[in-house]
Amino acid sequence: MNLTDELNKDIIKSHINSDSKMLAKHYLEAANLFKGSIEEPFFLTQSYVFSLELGDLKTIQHTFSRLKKLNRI
Amino acid sequence: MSERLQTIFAPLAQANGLANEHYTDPQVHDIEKRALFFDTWAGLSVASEIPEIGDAKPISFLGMPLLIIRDKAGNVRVFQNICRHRGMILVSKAQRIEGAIRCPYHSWCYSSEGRLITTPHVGGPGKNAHPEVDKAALGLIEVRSHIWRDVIFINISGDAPPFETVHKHLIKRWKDFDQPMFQGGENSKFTINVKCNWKLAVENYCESYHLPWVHPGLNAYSRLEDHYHIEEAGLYSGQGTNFYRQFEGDGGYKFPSFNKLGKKWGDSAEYITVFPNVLMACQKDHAWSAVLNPISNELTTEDINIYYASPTTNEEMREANKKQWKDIFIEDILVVEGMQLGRNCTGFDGGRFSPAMDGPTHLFHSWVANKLLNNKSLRP
Repeated sequence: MNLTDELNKDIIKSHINSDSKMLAKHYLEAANLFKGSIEEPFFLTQSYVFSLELGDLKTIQHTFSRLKKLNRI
Repeated sequence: MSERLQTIFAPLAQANGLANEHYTDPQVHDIEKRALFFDTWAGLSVASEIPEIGDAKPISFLGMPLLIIRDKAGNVRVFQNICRHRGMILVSKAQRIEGAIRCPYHSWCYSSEGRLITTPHVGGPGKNAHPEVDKAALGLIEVRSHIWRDVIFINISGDAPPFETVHKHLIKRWKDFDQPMFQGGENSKFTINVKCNWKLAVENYCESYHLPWVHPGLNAYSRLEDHYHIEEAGLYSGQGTNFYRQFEGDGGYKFPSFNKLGKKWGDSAEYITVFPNVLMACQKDHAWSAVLNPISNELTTEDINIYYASPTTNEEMREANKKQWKDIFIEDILVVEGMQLGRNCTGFDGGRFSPAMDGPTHLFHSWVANKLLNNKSLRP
């Protein structure tokens, strides 16, 4: 499975703009897209980090609990 | 170096000042960094620069990247501004940190209290922990700090006695001013870069001898004979005046005085250098601090902040007062930069002090010499 072109473009654009809010959002979308696959914790980690930077408590808790369940944190 | 330093301890009338190398030699500057700044309480910045929770400001101090931040509890903290992973600079511009401090390299994240929160992919892709990477032991390196009169003092070595112990004399001397004071905003701060060694800025500030010549505007209301020396060996030196003329604007506006000051402060004002690098002033209606940042052996930045007794003073008056003080600081540039150039003359022997007027400067030189001779890291 690959990231959709659209989501990939969104992620790259958000990196260029240093837009942590959109990065947390798009990486979470990617994690959902890859739910159950080996890539899921990678994307969850990315989303978790940017939500931490942002102080977005809701996304922090969501991504942290999923990573915890996967024994990745 | 040590033989030359001994000559400084001679009585004021016979002593010579610090030799040229203390101003012109980058290697001596490096030695002085450790001996005069790391083991003492040095001024770094002011807390009013980071008024809100999460406010963070990177500062390069003596070549070391530091970060000042107001943590979630409202405390000012100072950290070495590097990630514990690869030593990458964490924060490169002043900003409000809303959540975590994220390293721009591999995204290790730290709380505003310095705790390492997460180490993404440290155990491989999507694995955010590794048994050999102990997050609890890898928080940001905190620099010991203490705030006094808004100035953030730091003790880089971490082993100096507490600030309140070291400076108990000065705290007592200025106890009347131990009350709320308010930095007056953008029109109460300015920065000046001077092409001189930081010590020349201190030396010039310590003494009143130069006032009639360099600041002739003061002659009309602050005569040389109204001034007195302030000398506390090993701690601070400076000058005071027994005739302080309150700044007055159009229509007779004056800044409100600080509350319940002792009688002495009705007419007096004091200007003290807290060794090594903080110039401070106390006057009945406003105060200020100037933190000297030695950029190199021959370049110094002076960050000046002015404080008032009330948070609501007249804005135009604050601007006028800032101009008054800035003009005085600018008048000093000629002499401190001139002395720096002069120290490239091989015939200069450190200079001969005025036995009557240069006591505070001699006391500062003695402090420098004493610190250099007694610094444990410099002993053979």
